[in-house]
Amino acid sequence: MKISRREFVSTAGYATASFCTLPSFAFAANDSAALAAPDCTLLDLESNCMLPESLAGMRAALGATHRRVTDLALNGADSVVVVPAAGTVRAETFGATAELVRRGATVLWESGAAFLGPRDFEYQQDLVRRHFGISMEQPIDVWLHSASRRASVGAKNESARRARAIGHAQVPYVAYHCPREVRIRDFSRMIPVSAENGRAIGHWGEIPVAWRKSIDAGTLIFVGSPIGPALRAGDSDAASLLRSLIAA
Amino acid sequence: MKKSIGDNMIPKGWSFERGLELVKKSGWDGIELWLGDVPWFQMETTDAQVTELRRKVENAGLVVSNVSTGLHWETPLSSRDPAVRAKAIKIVEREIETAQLLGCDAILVVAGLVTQEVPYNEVYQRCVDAMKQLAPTAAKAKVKIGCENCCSEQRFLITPREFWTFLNDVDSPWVGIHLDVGNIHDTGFAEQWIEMHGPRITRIHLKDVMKKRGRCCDTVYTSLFIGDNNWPAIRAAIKKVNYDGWLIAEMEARYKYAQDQQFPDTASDIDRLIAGTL
Repeated sequence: MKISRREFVSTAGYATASFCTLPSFAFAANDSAALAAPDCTLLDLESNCMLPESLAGMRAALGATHRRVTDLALNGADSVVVVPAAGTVRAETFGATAELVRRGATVLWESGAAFLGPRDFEYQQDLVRRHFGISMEQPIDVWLHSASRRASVGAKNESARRARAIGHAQVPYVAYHCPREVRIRDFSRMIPVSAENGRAIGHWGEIPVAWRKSIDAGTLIFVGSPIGPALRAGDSDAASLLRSLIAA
Repeated sequence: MKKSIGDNMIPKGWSFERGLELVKKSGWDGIELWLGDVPWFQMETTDAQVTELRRKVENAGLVVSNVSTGLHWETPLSSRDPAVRAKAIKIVEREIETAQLLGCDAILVVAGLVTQEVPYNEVYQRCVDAMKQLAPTAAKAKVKIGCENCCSEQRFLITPREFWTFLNDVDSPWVGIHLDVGNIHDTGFAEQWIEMHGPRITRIHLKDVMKKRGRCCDTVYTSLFIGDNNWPAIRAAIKKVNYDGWLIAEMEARYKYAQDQQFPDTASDIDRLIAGTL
C-alpha cells in the first residue's frame, strides 16, 4: 500500500495525539477529509482564548500538521490559519488576520465572544464588522430557550441531586451544510452571524451561526458556535468538519 | 472494619458537639465530615477552625473517617464554564487540605455530571483531566481521592467496567472509587462492583435501595436490610477483596421522627453486617 508523506504525517499525528482517554470512534484515521488536511497555523490567543479545551481539541485534531503561534506574522507563509475560541482580541490581530485573508489565506475564526461580558462583546462585535464584514448578533443561550430546560434548572436549584432527567424537544446540534453535511453539538451559547456576501454554512434551527465568505484572494470562515470542545470530546464528525473547512 | 456516619445526619438545629455525643453514644467509631453541607464545615472555615473540629471529634472519642462534599452537584468538575471548573477544583483541593488537618487519608468527590446540555464524552474528558490535575496534590498530601459512583443520578460511569476504564485513564494510585452500595440502583449489583474494584476502593458508603418499588415504579433509598441489596453477598465481596477500611452510613432516607434513633439503629445494623450475623 502506498502512502503519501502527507497521509503519513496526518495519520501519525492522530496516533501520537495525547487522546488516550477518547472513545474509539474518535478521529478515525481513515477519514478521507482528514487525510486531505493541509499544514496550518494555529493561533493560540492564550488568555484571550475563551475556551482552553477548544484550543486543546483543535491541536489534537490537527495533529502533527499544524504549528502553533501566539501572534500572526504577515510574511505570507500562513496559508491556513485556525483561531480557536477568540475572546477579547486586539484590533491589530483582526487587522493582521484580515490582511492574511486578502493575500489568499484561509482563516477559520472560531468565536468565543459569546462567553464575554456585554461590553467586551460589543467591542468585538464592532471589530468583527469592521475587519471581517461579519455581523454578530447578541449570543443565544441555547439551553435557556427551552421551557423544559427552565424546569430542569428550577429542579436543580431545589436539589441538584434529586433533579430528574427531563425529556424535552431541544435538539442539541448545529447543522453544517458545507463543505459537508454534519451535525455538531452546540456548546451552550452561540452567536448568530450574517454578512453582505458569502453564505451561511451552519445553522441552529433556522438561525445562521457559521459563515463563509471570500475576501479578495482568500477565504474567511467565521464560526459562532464553538466546535473545539466537540473535538476534545472525541466527535469524529467535528474532526472531519474541521479538516474539510480548512481544506476546502 | 470500622463504622462511621456523616455529620450531615446530625438532626437540624443540633450543635456539632451534641451530634458528636450522639454518634459516640450510639457506638460509632468515626464521623464523616461533609464540606459545605453543615454549618460548622464550610469552604470559608479556616484551618484553625478545622483543627478545632478535629479536637472536638477526638475529645468525643471518635476519629474523622473521611471528608466528603455535595458541593460538586452545583459546581461540577465537568462544567463547560472554565470558571466553574476552577471553583470545583478548589473545592477538591480544600477537601484534601482539610483531610490532612483532620488526620484522615481519603476524600469523596462527585466527579462529573452528565446532563442533556453537557454530554457524556465532554464530561468524561473533563473529569479525567481534572483527576489527572489533582492526583499530584493528593499524592503529596497522602490523601486518596475517591470518586463516588453516583450512577443514575450523575448519569455518568454507570457500569463497573466504565468506572474501571475511567480509573485506568486517570492512572494514579491516589485516585480510586468511593463505592456506594446503594447508588447502583437497577443497573447492577453492589457485590460485583466491590469485587471488580477491590484495592481501588477508598471508602464504602452503606445504604439500602428498593429497586422500582417506590411510587410510579421509582427506585428509592431506605434503611439497611429493608431494601433489595443482597447484604450477605456484599459482605462476602468485601471479605473476598480484603477490604478492611471504613464502612460509612449515608442514610438518604431519614427518620421523620425521633431522628436520633437512626444513629443507634444503623450502628447496630452495621455491627451485624461486620459480624456476619445476617
